[in-house]
Amino acid sequence: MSVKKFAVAVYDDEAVLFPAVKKVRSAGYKIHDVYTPFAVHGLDVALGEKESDLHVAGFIYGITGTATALGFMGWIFTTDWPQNFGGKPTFPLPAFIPIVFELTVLFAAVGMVLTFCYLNQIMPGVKKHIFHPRQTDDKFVMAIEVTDENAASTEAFLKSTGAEETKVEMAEADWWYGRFDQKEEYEIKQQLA
Amino acid sequence: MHLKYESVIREALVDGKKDYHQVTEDICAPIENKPTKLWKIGFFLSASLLLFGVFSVGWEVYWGTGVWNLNRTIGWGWDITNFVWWVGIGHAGTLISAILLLFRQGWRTGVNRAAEAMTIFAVMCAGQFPIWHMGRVWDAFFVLPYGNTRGPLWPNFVSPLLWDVFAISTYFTVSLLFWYSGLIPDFATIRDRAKTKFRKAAYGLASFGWAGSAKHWQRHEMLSLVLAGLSTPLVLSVHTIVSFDFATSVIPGWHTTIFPPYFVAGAVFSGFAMVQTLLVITRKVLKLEDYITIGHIEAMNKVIVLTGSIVGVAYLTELFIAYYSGVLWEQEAFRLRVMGPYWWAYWAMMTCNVVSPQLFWFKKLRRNIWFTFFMSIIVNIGMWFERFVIIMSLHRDYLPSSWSYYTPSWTEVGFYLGSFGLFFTCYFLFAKYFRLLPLRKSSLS
Amino acid sequence: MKSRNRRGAAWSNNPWLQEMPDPITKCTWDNYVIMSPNRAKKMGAELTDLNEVDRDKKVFSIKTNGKEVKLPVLVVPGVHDDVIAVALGYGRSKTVGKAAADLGVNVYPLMGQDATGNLSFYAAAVDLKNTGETYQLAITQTHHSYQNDRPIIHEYSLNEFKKDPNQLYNKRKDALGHYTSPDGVVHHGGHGDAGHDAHGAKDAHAAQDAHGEAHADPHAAAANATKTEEDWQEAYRKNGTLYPNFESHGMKWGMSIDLNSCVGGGSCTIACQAENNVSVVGKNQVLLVHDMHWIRIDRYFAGDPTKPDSIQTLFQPMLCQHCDNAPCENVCPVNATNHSSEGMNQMAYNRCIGTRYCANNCPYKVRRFNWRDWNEADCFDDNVYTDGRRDDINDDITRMVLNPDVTVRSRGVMEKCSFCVQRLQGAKATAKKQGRLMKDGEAKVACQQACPTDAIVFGNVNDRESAIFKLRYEDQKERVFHVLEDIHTLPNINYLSKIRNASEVMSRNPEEASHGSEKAHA
Repeated sequence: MSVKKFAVAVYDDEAVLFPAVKKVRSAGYKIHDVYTPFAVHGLDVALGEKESDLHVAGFIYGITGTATALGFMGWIFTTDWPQNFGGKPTFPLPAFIPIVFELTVLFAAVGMVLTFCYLNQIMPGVKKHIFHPRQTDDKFVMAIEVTDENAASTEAFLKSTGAEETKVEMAEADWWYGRFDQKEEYEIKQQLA
Repeated sequence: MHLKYESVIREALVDGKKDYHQVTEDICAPIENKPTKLWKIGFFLSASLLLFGVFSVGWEVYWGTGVWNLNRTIGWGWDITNFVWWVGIGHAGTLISAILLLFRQGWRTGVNRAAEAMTIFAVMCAGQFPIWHMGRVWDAFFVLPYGNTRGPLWPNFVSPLLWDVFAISTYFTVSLLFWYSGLIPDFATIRDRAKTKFRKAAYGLASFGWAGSAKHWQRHEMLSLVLAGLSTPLVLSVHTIVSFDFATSVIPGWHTTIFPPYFVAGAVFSGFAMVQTLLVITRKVLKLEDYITIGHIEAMNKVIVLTGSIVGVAYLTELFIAYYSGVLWEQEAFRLRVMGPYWWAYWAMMTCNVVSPQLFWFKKLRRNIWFTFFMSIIVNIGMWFERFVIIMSLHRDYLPSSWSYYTPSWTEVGFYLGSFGLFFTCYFLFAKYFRLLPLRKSSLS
Repeated sequence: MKSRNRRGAAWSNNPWLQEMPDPITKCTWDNYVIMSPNRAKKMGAELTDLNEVDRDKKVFSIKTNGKEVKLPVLVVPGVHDDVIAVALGYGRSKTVGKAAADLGVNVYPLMGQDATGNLSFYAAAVDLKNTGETYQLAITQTHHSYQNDRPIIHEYSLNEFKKDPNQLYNKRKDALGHYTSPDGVVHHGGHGDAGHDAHGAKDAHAAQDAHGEAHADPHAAAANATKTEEDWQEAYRKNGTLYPNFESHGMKWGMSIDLNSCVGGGSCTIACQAENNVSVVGKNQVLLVHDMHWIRIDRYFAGDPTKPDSIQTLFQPMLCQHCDNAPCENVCPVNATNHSSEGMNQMAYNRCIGTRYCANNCPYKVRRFNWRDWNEADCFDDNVYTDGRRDDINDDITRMVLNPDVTVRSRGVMEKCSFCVQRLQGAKATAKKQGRLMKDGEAKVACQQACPTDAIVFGNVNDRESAIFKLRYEDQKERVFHVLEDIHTLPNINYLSKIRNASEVMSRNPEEASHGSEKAHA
């Protein structure tokens, strides 16, 4: 748990968000994150994010599935218990293709989703700070980590980039186990303050 | 600046000028308001059917498969017909969400969430049939390659039925993952809009703590794309493998190489029809006419007329090949299919699947909601008959001494009705508690 | 009027016999009137092509000697147009026992006396009326012709056979013999696709000839040709498929069934039922075509149904063919049926989950499924099927009729002819204990033992001294055929063609018949 202070800007439209991101980055601010209600294509590039390597992981999982299926069935039919089914060969490769293909897809898909969840640190019971209740609806939210000293100036700068609304708030930067129907301690403290 | 892959904009597929928030409001409305009377009636009916299905299956499991009218000659009847039928219906969902995503077809947005859900529910229904059709269903786990104490005893990996086990379970899993990973951000939206504690907690769990970070969205897009890429060959493979159940056998009328493409086309055909049926009802019941537009419906009707014609060509090809092969068994099987005791099923199939969809060449009919609804039912009836006709190749095969006939018993019909109950119960729950339409940029344009 | 196979009804309380299909009508559990198609047509009870669809039979009233009974009609070709026949021994009272009680109708009251005062088994004047009512008869075979051109049975008239005993052999060789390559070497696999195209294969051979064999010694070539003659069956086995060939060393069980000797009496069916604990299912289940017999006798008629004299009847015992390339084995998802090294197709009941895929994929339709709990052998209580079963097999005493060497199958599993594997294993064990090889004929299967005409020969085909080997490859080789040989299932059961002592074989289709006569002229 590391509760930090963030300057938060809320934008109404991605047409405003994109120039804002550029301005903020060229002004030397390090953007903590941008939250959008849907995938905004090109935003990752604007933020300087590398392309995701998730598909590579998927390929490796898929190959693992192929090898597992072939190896397992081959071992069973040729070594563990070779049998005669309707006179078919003991290593009937064409008859293995369906299962090999299915396991390839299964391994790739399941592996990728698990990796996706791991990389994004999401799973049931995980909670993350929601800076603005409409960031999953129609608003675009940018958060910059600030200190007590530069909070006001950052907020003012964000205001100048066209933000509809700005604020400074304490927020948990990371994920934690929690329930969305309960307020966290730091949130209550902040509200009281 | 944005939307690297956006396709060329055609006509706007969301009617009325709506901003993002309005879209969210509209789409979330069915979830957040009290259920409508229509919804309640629909849910009650479906749940009753489901209960009747549970009773029928329970009856069958207790007394034995003999309560079905299958016999020593015709070992599969309504059970496997319904299995293949439901799988076929499920396929359209994947095709719509995956293939249309790959092809960047904007219009999919109006239908894809419902279609994906339909896939999941249809595969659930389909899976019921091969499970409960077993004589000893309590031993169904024998099909899994698990380590056991009986020596090196494994399933038979060359059996098409075992391929089915792998294909259907993989298909179900991948569809579920694809669907759920798409739903995570939607759940997050509902969570953040939720007024009650329970909703916040429940949708909080369901949303996996999704916050909408840019990096996460990037990975999410990648995940969707690759899952779509995997689902596309998967969906083709699944119905291909289902067709192998028949194609790899020695029974004339089953033993034919045309089955894989023919089954896949049939699956798309019946699946799109089922999506139509659901959409026409859904847009009415949940008042989503602005989002599921006549444009969507017309686009889908075009697919129906195309696949219907492909299926028609396949039927004629089958007849021709049977004649041209010079193989007595094949010729007899197809003669009996057209003119034998099950002639009525064959001609029902021909009328519903090949002849009637041709009416969709007329634009007026394509854009007529009620006609579309009517046709979607007709097509599904026709596709049911297609599977029935194929499976009934069993009734007269090699040795005339074993020729037989089959009509279903009440438990078989009950099981089938029950699968509708399961499907619609799930669908009604889904339409009420999950977001039916996804929020995507391309839906606005 | 004659009772059949129940010895004047003395055995009518035996459910095995009640459920055994009548050799001609294939009907179980009832008596009925049989009449010719012509008469039936006249009286509105004709036989339709959709026999299996219309299970309802018309009920007729029969009046003679001042008495009347009502009985359902079964139309049987070959009956004289002016004759009807009814089986005696039905309509027994409850005191006879469960199986026979109130089954069918007692027609003894119809019988008059002849001049000497004995019971007369016929009545000359009968008043026959269609009552318009219907009644369902449990018939196990509803289709009666083998459709003329379906090559599942081969029959020849005696003259045809005398003229050219090798007709069938040559026919088979023409159809299947092109898998042999000219050098006489039997190649492994590979010919799968070419196999269906005789001309393609011949062309390939011709090309090969032109290439390598041009300078070969003509005598050697001739020697090779003879070798090829003998090997074509082996070549078809090995080259007619993409699959490898599984050799059976030691034992390879085989059976031969002589269609000439088979009289269709059905004692094999009952012997098998007794030996292998085959369940009786009762009339209602036979109506649903859930009969369980492991060996059945298919009865086919040939000829013109409107001319009773033209009708020829043929019996073909049908049981698991123990195919070496068994279609049923491939498709079982759980490995419940596979092939033994002795050429047997074996069932593991314990492993079976009852998908019925094997039965669907069996071209001979000989697999039998336990649709219900017949024997209190599944894991549910109180769900034994009793409705109209009329047997007492679940009674503690009656149960002792079960063969302890054979598993009693539970509901939901597939079963079929096992070649009486318990007897084979027993015989092998005896020989082994005595430290010797098994003798031919030491192991007999139940149907073989029971057959009164010795139509069934069984033994080890790998043993060149065995009766089955001699019959198949020497004594009767020109009569041997396998059912559905062309689909390459490689059955271990062969049949011997039917040779009729008749001038004409009615089942032959017209073209072939005329072809045959052309040949005769030439």
